Amino acid sequence: MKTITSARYDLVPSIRATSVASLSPTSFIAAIPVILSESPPLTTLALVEPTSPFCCIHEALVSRIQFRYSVLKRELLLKIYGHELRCDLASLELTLADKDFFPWVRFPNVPVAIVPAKRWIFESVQFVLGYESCLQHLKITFAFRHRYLRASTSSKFDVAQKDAREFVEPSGLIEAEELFRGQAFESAVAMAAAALEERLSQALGKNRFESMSYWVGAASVRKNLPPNIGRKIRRIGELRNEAVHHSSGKRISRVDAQRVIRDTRDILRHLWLQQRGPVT
Amino acid sequence: MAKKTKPSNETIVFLSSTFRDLAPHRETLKLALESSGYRVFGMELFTANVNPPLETCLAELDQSDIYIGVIGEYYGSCPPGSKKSYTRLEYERARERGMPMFIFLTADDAQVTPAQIERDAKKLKRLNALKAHLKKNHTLAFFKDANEAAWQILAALRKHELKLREIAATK
Repeated sequence: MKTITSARYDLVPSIRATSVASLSPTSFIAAIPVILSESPPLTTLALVEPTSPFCCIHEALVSRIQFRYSVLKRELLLKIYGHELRCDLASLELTLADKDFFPWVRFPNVPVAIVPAKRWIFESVQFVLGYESCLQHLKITFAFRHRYLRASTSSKFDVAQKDAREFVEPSGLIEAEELFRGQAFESAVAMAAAALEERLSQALGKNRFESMSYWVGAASVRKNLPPNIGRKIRRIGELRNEAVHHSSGKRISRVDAQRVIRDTRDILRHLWLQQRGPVT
Repeated sequence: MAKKTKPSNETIVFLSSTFRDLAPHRETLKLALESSGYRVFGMELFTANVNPPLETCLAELDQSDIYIGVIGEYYGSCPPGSKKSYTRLEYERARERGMPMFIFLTADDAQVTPAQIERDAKKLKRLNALKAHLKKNHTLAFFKDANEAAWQILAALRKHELKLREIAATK
Protein backbone atom coordinates (compact mmCIF):
# COMPACT_ATOMS: atom_id res chain seq x y z
CA MET A 1 0.00 0.00 0.00
CA LYS A 2 1.29 3.42 -0.93
CA THR A 3 2.04 5.48 2.19
CA ILE A 4 4.04 8.34 0.75
CA THR A 5 2.95 11.00 -1.69
CA SER A 6 5.40 13.26 -3.55
CA ALA A 7 5.42 16.39 -5.65
CA ARG A 8 8.21 17.96 -7.68
CA TYR A 9 8.73 21.69 -8.13
CA ASP A 10 11.17 23.68 -10.22
CA LEU A 11 13.42 26.03 -8.29
CA VAL A 12 12.55 29.58 -9.33
CA PRO A 13 15.51 31.48 -10.84
CA SER A 14 16.49 34.87 -9.52
CA ILE A 15 19.17 37.47 -10.14
CA ARG A 16 20.25 38.70 -6.74
CA ALA A 17 22.82 41.33 -7.58
CA THR A 18 21.43 43.48 -10.40
CA SER A 19 24.59 45.64 -10.41
CA VAL A 20 26.85 42.75 -11.47
CA ALA A 21 27.30 42.63 -15.24
CA SER A 22 26.41 38.99 -15.65
CA LEU A 23 23.78 37.50 -17.89
CA SER A 24 23.14 34.40 -15.85
CA PRO A 25 20.80 34.15 -12.89
CA THR A 26 22.80 33.65 -9.72
CA SER A 27 20.38 32.17 -7.25
CA PHE A 28 17.32 29.96 -6.90
CA ILE A 29 14.28 30.26 -4.71
CA ALA A 30 12.63 27.22 -3.19
CA ALA A 31 8.92 27.88 -3.31
CA ILE A 32 5.81 25.71 -3.13
CA PRO A 33 2.34 26.86 -4.24
CA VAL A 34 -0.23 27.04 -1.43
CA ILE A 35 -4.00 27.32 -1.69
CA LEU A 36 -5.40 29.38 1.16
CA SER A 37 -8.90 29.72 -0.18
CA GLU A 38 -10.73 28.22 -3.14
CA SER A 39 -13.66 30.60 -3.28
CA PRO A 40 -12.71 33.38 -3.58
CA PRO A 41 -9.47 32.00 -5.03
CA LEU A 42 -6.25 32.67 -3.14
CA THR A 43 -3.20 30.78 -4.40
CA THR A 44 0.35 31.98 -3.97
CA LEU A 45 3.91 30.71 -4.03
CA ALA A 46 5.21 30.19 -0.48
CA LEU A 47 8.88 30.35 0.44
CA VAL A 48 10.41 27.21 2.00
CA GLU A 49 12.16 28.67 5.08
CA PRO A 50 13.19 26.08 7.71
CA THR A 51 14.73 28.76 9.97
CA SER A 52 11.27 30.17 10.59
CA PRO A 53 9.63 28.25 13.43
CA PHE A 54 6.13 28.94 12.17
CA CYS A 55 4.50 29.58 8.86
CA CYS A 56 4.19 33.34 8.36
CA ILE A 57 1.63 35.29 6.40
CA HIS A 58 1.79 38.96 5.40
CA GLU A 59 -1.17 40.88 6.81
CA ALA A 60 -1.91 42.27 3.31
CA LEU A 61 -2.61 38.74 2.12
CA VAL A 62 -4.99 38.20 5.03
CA SER A 63 -6.92 41.35 4.19
CA ARG A 64 -6.84 40.78 0.41
CA ILE A 65 -9.25 37.89 0.59
CA GLN A 66 -10.96 36.90 3.80
CA PHE A 67 -10.34 33.26 4.57
CA ARG A 68 -11.14 31.24 7.64
CA TYR A 69 -8.67 31.21 10.51
CA SER A 70 -8.87 31.35 14.29
CA VAL A 71 -6.51 33.34 16.48
CA LEU A 72 -4.56 31.08 18.88
CA LYS A 73 -2.46 33.66 20.65
CA ARG A 74 -2.12 37.42 20.65
CA GLU A 75 1.36 39.01 20.62
CA LEU A 76 3.66 36.11 19.87
CA LEU A 77 7.38 36.97 19.83
CA LEU A 78 9.02 35.34 16.81
CA LYS A 79 12.78 35.42 16.17
CA ILE A 80 13.89 35.03 12.53
CA TYR A 81 17.30 36.01 11.09
CA GLY A 82 17.99 37.89 14.34
CA HIS A 83 14.83 39.99 13.91
CA GLU A 84 12.19 39.99 16.61
CA LEU A 85 8.69 39.97 15.18
CA ARG A 86 5.66 40.61 17.36
CA CYS A 87 2.55 39.19 15.76
CA ASP A 88 -0.64 37.22 16.31
CA LEU A 89 -0.62 33.45 15.98
CA ALA A 90 -3.58 32.00 14.12
CA SER A 91 -4.62 28.57 12.94
CA LEU A 92 -5.81 27.71 9.45
CA GLU A 93 -6.23 24.82 7.06
CA LEU A 94 -3.28 24.82 4.69
CA THR A 95 -3.36 23.15 1.29
CA LEU A 96 -0.13 22.68 -0.62
CA ALA A 97 -0.63 22.50 -4.38
CA ASP A 98 1.29 20.63 -7.04
CA LYS A 99 3.29 22.49 -9.68
CA ASP A 100 0.12 23.05 -11.74
CA PHE A 101 -1.62 24.61 -8.73
CA PHE A 102 -3.98 21.68 -8.15
CA PRO A 103 -4.50 20.66 -4.48
CA TRP A 104 -1.90 18.11 -3.40
CA VAL A 105 -1.81 17.73 0.43
CA ARG A 106 -3.81 19.40 3.16
CA PHE A 107 -2.71 20.03 6.75
CA PRO A 108 -5.44 20.87 9.26
CA ASN A 109 -4.95 23.40 12.12
CA VAL A 110 -1.64 24.83 10.96
CA PRO A 111 -0.28 27.57 13.28
CA VAL A 112 0.53 30.65 11.21
CA ALA A 113 2.01 33.96 12.40
CA ILE A 114 0.17 36.98 10.94
CA VAL A 115 2.98 39.48 10.47
CA PRO A 116 2.21 43.23 10.16
CA ALA A 117 3.38 44.80 6.88
CA LYS A 118 6.00 47.03 8.51
CA ARG A 119 7.63 44.04 10.23
CA TRP A 120 7.64 41.71 7.21
CA ILE A 121 11.24 40.72 6.44
CA PHE A 122 10.85 38.23 3.58
CA GLU A 123 11.41 39.59 0.08
CA SER A 124 9.01 38.94 -2.80
CA VAL A 125 6.67 36.49 -1.08
CA GLN A 126 3.70 36.94 1.19
CA PHE A 127 3.62 33.43 2.67
CA VAL A 128 6.43 31.45 4.29
CA LEU A 129 6.42 27.75 5.14
CA GLY A 130 8.02 27.36 8.56
CA TYR A 131 9.40 24.30 10.29
CA GLU A 132 7.03 23.44 13.14
CA SER A 133 3.78 24.22 11.40
CA CYS A 134 4.49 22.60 8.08
CA LEU A 135 7.98 21.56 7.00
CA GLN A 136 8.42 18.97 9.75
CA HIS A 137 5.66 16.96 8.03
CA LEU A 138 7.58 16.98 4.75
CA LYS A 139 10.74 15.35 3.47
CA ILE A 140 12.33 17.85 1.13
CA THR A 141 15.09 16.90 -1.31
CA PHE A 142 16.93 19.51 -3.35
CA ALA A 143 18.41 18.62 -6.73
CA PHE A 144 20.34 21.80 -7.51
CA ARG A 145 21.98 20.25 -10.54
CA HIS A 146 18.60 19.71 -12.14
CA ARG A 147 17.12 22.82 -10.50
CA TYR A 148 14.21 21.20 -8.69
CA LEU A 149 13.06 20.19 -5.25
CA ARG A 150 10.95 17.20 -4.31
CA ALA A 151 8.61 17.22 -1.34
CA SER A 152 7.18 14.01 0.15
CA THR A 153 4.80 13.37 3.01
CA SER A 154 2.47 10.75 4.40
CA SER A 155 -0.38 9.93 2.05
CA LYS A 156 -2.81 10.51 4.94
CA PHE A 157 -2.49 14.22 4.07
CA ASP A 158 -3.01 13.59 0.36
CA VAL A 159 -6.02 15.45 -0.95
CA ALA A 160 -6.36 12.85 -3.70
CA GLN A 161 -6.45 10.01 -1.17
CA LYS A 162 -8.59 11.72 1.43
CA ASP A 163 -11.13 13.80 -0.40
CA ALA A 164 -9.87 14.04 -3.93
CA ARG A 165 -13.32 14.10 -5.18
CA GLU A 166 -13.95 17.26 -3.22
CA PHE A 167 -15.49 19.83 -5.48
CA VAL A 168 -12.87 22.12 -7.03
CA GLU A 169 -14.10 25.08 -9.03
CA PRO A 170 -12.90 25.07 -12.64
CA SER A 171 -10.58 27.90 -13.61
CA GLY A 172 -13.23 29.37 -15.95
CA LEU A 173 -15.59 29.95 -13.04
CA ILE A 174 -12.78 31.42 -10.95
CA GLU A 175 -11.99 33.83 -13.76
CA ALA A 176 -15.69 34.69 -14.10
CA GLU A 177 -15.65 35.66 -10.41
CA GLU A 178 -12.56 37.80 -10.99
CA LEU A 179 -14.28 39.55 -13.89
CA PHE A 180 -17.41 40.04 -11.78
CA ARG A 181 -15.36 41.69 -9.05
CA GLY A 182 -13.88 43.94 -11.73
CA GLN A 183 -17.44 44.86 -12.80
CA ALA A 184 -17.01 43.29 -16.26
CA PHE A 185 -20.44 41.65 -15.99
CA GLU A 186 -20.83 40.61 -19.65
CA SER A 187 -17.40 38.99 -19.76
CA ALA A 188 -18.14 37.29 -16.42
CA VAL A 189 -21.35 35.78 -17.84
CA ALA A 190 -19.57 34.60 -21.01
CA MET A 191 -16.73 33.09 -18.97
CA ALA A 192 -19.07 31.26 -16.54
CA ALA A 193 -21.03 29.88 -19.51
CA ALA A 194 -17.78 28.69 -21.13
CA ALA A 195 -16.86 26.85 -17.92
CA LEU A 196 -20.30 25.24 -17.92
CA GLU A 197 -20.05 24.25 -21.61
CA GLU A 198 -16.75 22.56 -20.92
CA ARG A 199 -18.03 20.63 -17.89
CA LEU A 200 -21.26 19.56 -19.59
CA SER A 201 -19.24 18.37 -22.58
CA GLN A 202 -17.07 16.27 -20.26
CA ALA A 203 -19.97 14.88 -18.20
CA LEU A 204 -22.68 14.36 -20.82
CA GLY A 205 -21.02 14.81 -24.18
CA LYS A 206 -18.48 11.99 -23.86
CA ASN A 207 -15.76 14.67 -24.07
CA ARG A 208 -17.03 15.95 -27.43
CA PHE A 209 -17.18 19.70 -27.08
CA GLU A 210 -20.62 21.25 -27.65
CA SER A 211 -21.56 24.91 -27.31
CA MET A 212 -24.09 26.40 -24.90
CA SER A 213 -26.79 26.60 -27.59
CA TYR A 214 -26.58 22.81 -27.93
CA TRP A 215 -26.90 22.20 -24.19
CA VAL A 216 -29.92 24.48 -23.84
CA GLY A 217 -32.02 22.04 -25.85
CA ALA A 218 -30.05 18.82 -25.41
CA ALA A 219 -31.97 15.60 -24.82
CA SER A 220 -29.13 14.34 -22.61
CA VAL A 221 -29.74 17.25 -20.22
CA ARG A 222 -33.46 16.42 -19.94
CA LYS A 223 -32.67 12.74 -19.49
CA ASN A 224 -29.82 12.98 -16.98
CA LEU A 225 -30.44 16.12 -14.98
CA PRO A 226 -33.42 17.27 -12.87
CA PRO A 227 -35.81 19.88 -14.36
CA ASN A 228 -34.58 22.73 -12.13
CA ILE A 229 -31.02 22.23 -13.46
CA GLY A 230 -32.37 22.23 -17.03
CA ARG A 231 -34.13 25.55 -16.31
CA LYS A 232 -30.91 27.03 -14.95
CA ILE A 233 -29.00 25.92 -18.06
CA ARG A 234 -31.61 27.58 -20.31
CA ARG A 235 -31.44 30.82 -18.29
CA ILE A 236 -27.62 30.83 -18.43
CA GLY A 237 -27.81 30.19 -22.19
CA GLU A 238 -30.13 33.18 -22.67
CA LEU A 239 -27.98 35.52 -20.61
CA ARG A 240 -24.83 34.26 -22.32
CA ASN A 241 -26.34 35.11 -25.74
CA GLU A 242 -27.34 38.49 -24.42
CA ALA A 243 -23.81 39.12 -23.12
CA VAL A 244 -22.03 37.93 -26.25
CA HIS A 245 -24.41 38.81 -29.09
CA HIS A 246 -26.60 41.53 -27.47
CA SER A 247 -29.56 39.69 -29.02
CA SER A 248 -32.29 41.85 -27.50
CA GLY A 249 -30.22 44.88 -26.57
CA LYS A 250 -30.72 44.32 -22.82
CA ARG A 251 -27.71 45.20 -20.67
CA ILE A 252 -26.30 42.52 -18.41
CA SER A 253 -26.67 43.78 -14.86
CA ARG A 254 -24.72 42.94 -11.72
CA VAL A 255 -27.68 40.81 -10.56
CA ASP A 256 -27.73 38.87 -13.86
CA ALA A 257 -24.00 38.14 -13.65
CA GLN A 258 -24.26 37.18 -9.98
CA ARG A 259 -27.11 34.81 -10.78
CA VAL A 260 -25.23 33.19 -13.68
CA ILE A 261 -22.16 32.58 -11.51
CA ARG A 262 -24.28 31.18 -8.67
CA ASP A 263 -26.34 28.93 -10.98
CA THR A 264 -23.21 27.73 -12.80
CA ARG A 265 -21.65 26.78 -9.47
CA ASP A 266 -24.85 24.92 -8.46
CA ILE A 267 -24.89 22.97 -11.74
CA LEU A 268 -21.18 22.13 -11.58
CA ARG A 269 -21.61 20.98 -7.98
CA HIS A 270 -24.59 18.85 -9.00
CA LEU A 271 -22.61 17.25 -11.84
CA TRP A 272 -19.74 16.58 -9.45
CA LEU A 273 -22.02 14.97 -6.85
CA GLN A 274 -23.67 12.90 -9.57
CA GLN A 275 -20.32 11.69 -10.85
CA ARG A 276 -18.92 11.01 -7.35
CA GLY A 277 -21.90 8.92 -6.26
CA PRO A 278 -22.95 8.33 -2.63
CA VAL A 279 -20.29 8.74 0.05
CA THR A 280 -19.72 5.43 1.84
CA MET B 1 -7.14 55.98 -8.91
CA ALA B 2 -4.44 56.89 -6.44
CA LYS B 3 -1.07 57.11 -8.18
CA LYS B 4 1.62 54.80 -6.91
CA THR B 5 4.88 56.45 -5.97
CA LYS B 6 7.98 55.01 -7.61
CA PRO B 7 11.53 55.20 -6.28
CA SER B 8 13.82 56.56 -9.04
CA ASN B 9 16.01 53.43 -9.20
CA GLU B 10 13.13 50.96 -9.39
CA THR B 11 12.20 49.33 -12.69
CA ILE B 12 8.52 48.52 -13.04
CA VAL B 13 7.67 45.58 -15.24
CA PHE B 14 4.14 45.17 -16.55
CA LEU B 15 3.27 41.50 -16.88
CA SER B 16 0.58 41.00 -19.49
CA SER B 17 -1.02 37.61 -20.09
CA THR B 18 -4.29 35.78 -19.84
CA PHE B 19 -5.12 34.50 -16.37
CA ARG B 20 -7.13 31.33 -16.85
CA ASP B 21 -4.41 29.32 -18.60
CA LEU B 22 -1.29 31.01 -17.27
CA ALA B 23 -1.98 31.53 -13.54
CA PRO B 24 0.93 29.29 -12.38
CA HIS B 25 3.23 31.02 -14.90
CA ARG B 26 2.24 34.43 -13.55
CA GLU B 27 2.99 33.42 -9.93
CA THR B 28 6.39 32.03 -10.89
CA LEU B 29 7.28 35.04 -13.04
CA LYS B 30 6.16 37.46 -10.33
CA LEU B 31 8.35 35.71 -7.74
CA ALA B 32 11.34 35.53 -10.12
CA LEU B 33 11.04 39.20 -11.10
CA GLU B 34 10.37 40.59 -7.62
CA SER B 35 13.22 38.64 -6.06
CA SER B 36 15.48 40.02 -8.79
CA GLY B 37 14.69 43.58 -7.80
CA TYR B 38 11.91 44.46 -10.24
CA ARG B 39 8.52 45.73 -9.25
CA VAL B 40 5.72 43.89 -11.03
CA PHE B 41 2.40 45.33 -12.14
CA GLY B 42 -0.26 43.01 -13.42
CA MET B 43 -3.82 41.87 -13.04
CA GLU B 44 -3.33 40.36 -9.57
CA LEU B 45 -3.30 43.92 -8.25
CA PHE B 46 -6.47 45.00 -10.00
CA THR B 47 -9.15 43.09 -8.14
CA ALA B 48 -9.41 45.45 -5.17
CA ASN B 49 -9.68 48.48 -7.43
CA VAL B 50 -12.98 50.25 -8.01
CA ASN B 51 -12.20 51.24 -11.61
CA PRO B 52 -13.27 49.05 -14.54
CA PRO B 53 -10.53 46.53 -15.39
CA LEU B 54 -9.43 47.95 -18.76
CA GLU B 55 -9.00 51.46 -17.41
CA THR B 56 -7.10 50.03 -14.45
CA CYS B 57 -4.91 47.79 -16.65
CA LEU B 58 -3.94 50.64 -18.95
CA ALA B 59 -3.34 53.08 -16.08
CA GLU B 60 -0.94 50.57 -14.50
CA LEU B 61 0.71 49.98 -17.87
CA ASP B 62 1.25 53.72 -18.33
CA GLN B 63 3.21 53.81 -15.07
CA SER B 64 5.45 50.89 -16.04
CA ASP B 65 8.90 50.95 -17.64
CA ILE B 66 8.93 47.60 -19.43
CA TYR B 67 6.21 45.50 -21.03
CA ILE B 68 6.36 41.71 -20.90
CA GLY B 69 3.74 39.81 -22.89
CA VAL B 70 3.26 36.11 -22.26
CA ILE B 71 0.95 34.58 -24.84
CA GLY B 72 -0.42 31.07 -24.48
CA GLU B 73 -3.06 29.18 -26.41
CA TYR B 74 -5.99 31.10 -24.99
CA TYR B 75 -7.21 34.46 -26.31
CA GLY B 76 -8.67 35.60 -23.00
CA SER B 77 -11.59 37.74 -22.00
CA CYS B 78 -12.55 40.98 -23.67
CA PRO B 79 -13.80 44.18 -22.07
CA PRO B 80 -17.52 44.81 -22.64
CA GLY B 81 -18.15 46.03 -26.18
CA SER B 82 -14.70 45.10 -27.47
CA LYS B 83 -13.62 42.26 -29.73
CA LYS B 84 -10.02 42.69 -28.63
CA SER B 85 -8.89 40.94 -25.46
CA TYR B 86 -7.34 42.72 -22.48
CA THR B 87 -3.99 41.18 -23.41
CA ARG B 88 -4.20 42.52 -26.98
CA LEU B 89 -5.26 45.98 -25.80
CA GLU B 90 -2.39 46.06 -23.31
CA TYR B 91 0.04 45.09 -26.07
CA GLU B 92 -1.27 47.84 -28.36
CA ARG B 93 -0.98 50.47 -25.63
CA ALA B 94 2.61 49.42 -24.84
CA ARG B 95 3.48 49.65 -28.53
CA GLU B 96 1.87 53.07 -28.85
CA ARG B 97 3.90 54.28 -25.90
CA GLY B 98 7.14 52.92 -27.40
CA MET B 99 7.95 50.91 -24.29
CA PRO B 100 10.72 48.27 -24.35
CA MET B 101 8.80 45.08 -25.15
CA PHE B 102 9.63 41.44 -24.53
CA ILE B 103 7.22 38.88 -25.87
CA PHE B 104 7.12 35.18 -25.07
CA LEU B 105 5.01 32.50 -26.74
CA THR B 106 4.38 28.88 -25.80
CA ALA B 107 6.73 26.55 -27.68
CA ASP B 108 5.34 24.00 -30.11
CA ASP B 109 6.36 21.18 -27.77
CA ALA B 110 4.96 22.80 -24.58
CA GLN B 111 2.56 20.68 -22.55
CA VAL B 112 -0.86 22.30 -22.77
CA THR B 113 -4.03 20.88 -21.21
CA PRO B 114 -7.38 21.01 -23.07
CA ALA B 115 -8.63 23.66 -20.63
CA GLN B 116 -5.77 25.96 -21.68
CA ILE B 117 -6.75 25.97 -25.35
CA GLU B 118 -9.07 28.52 -26.93
CA ARG B 119 -12.18 26.80 -28.26
CA ASP B 120 -14.21 29.74 -29.44
CA ALA B 121 -13.65 29.74 -33.22
CA LYS B 122 -13.78 33.54 -33.52
CA LYS B 123 -11.41 34.07 -30.61
CA LEU B 124 -9.07 31.40 -31.94
CA LYS B 125 -8.91 33.28 -35.24
CA ARG B 126 -8.09 36.49 -33.35
CA LEU B 127 -5.44 34.69 -31.29
CA ASN B 128 -3.77 33.37 -34.44
CA ALA B 129 -3.90 36.83 -36.00
CA LEU B 130 -2.26 38.29 -32.87
CA LYS B 131 0.49 35.64 -32.97
CA ALA B 132 1.10 36.26 -36.68
CA HIS B 133 1.35 39.99 -36.00
CA LEU B 134 3.80 39.42 -33.13
CA LYS B 135 5.97 37.07 -35.21
CA LYS B 136 6.14 39.65 -37.97
CA ASN B 137 6.93 42.64 -35.78
CA HIS B 138 9.00 41.33 -32.86
CA THR B 139 11.82 38.99 -32.00
CA LEU B 140 10.07 36.37 -29.93
CA ALA B 141 11.21 33.81 -27.40
CA PHE B 142 9.42 30.53 -26.74
CA PHE B 143 8.88 28.69 -23.45
CA LYS B 144 7.81 25.18 -22.53
CA ASP B 145 6.83 25.85 -18.91
CA ALA B 146 6.69 28.55 -16.23
CA ASN B 147 10.28 28.02 -15.14
CA GLU B 148 11.69 28.29 -18.63
CA ALA B 149 9.65 31.47 -19.15
CA ALA B 150 11.19 32.91 -15.95
CA TRP B 151 14.73 32.09 -17.10
CA GLN B 152 14.17 33.65 -20.48
CA ILE B 153 12.57 36.79 -19.10
CA LEU B 154 15.34 37.38 -16.55
CA ALA B 155 17.99 36.86 -19.24
CA ALA B 156 16.19 39.24 -21.61
CA LEU B 157 15.90 41.91 -18.91
CA ARG B 158 19.55 41.52 -17.96
CA LYS B 159 20.59 41.96 -21.63
CA HIS B 160 18.35 45.01 -21.88
CA GLU B 161 19.96 46.54 -18.76
CA LEU B 162 23.46 45.88 -20.08
CA LYS B 163 22.53 47.54 -23.36
CA LEU B 164 21.21 50.60 -21.51
CA ARG B 165 24.41 50.76 -19.47
CA GLU B 166 26.54 50.55 -22.62
CA ILE B 167 24.55 53.35 -24.24
CA ALA B 168 24.90 55.46 -21.08
CA ALA B 169 28.67 54.79 -20.98
CA THR B 170 29.20 55.89 -24.60
CA LYS B 171 27.41 59.22 -24.07
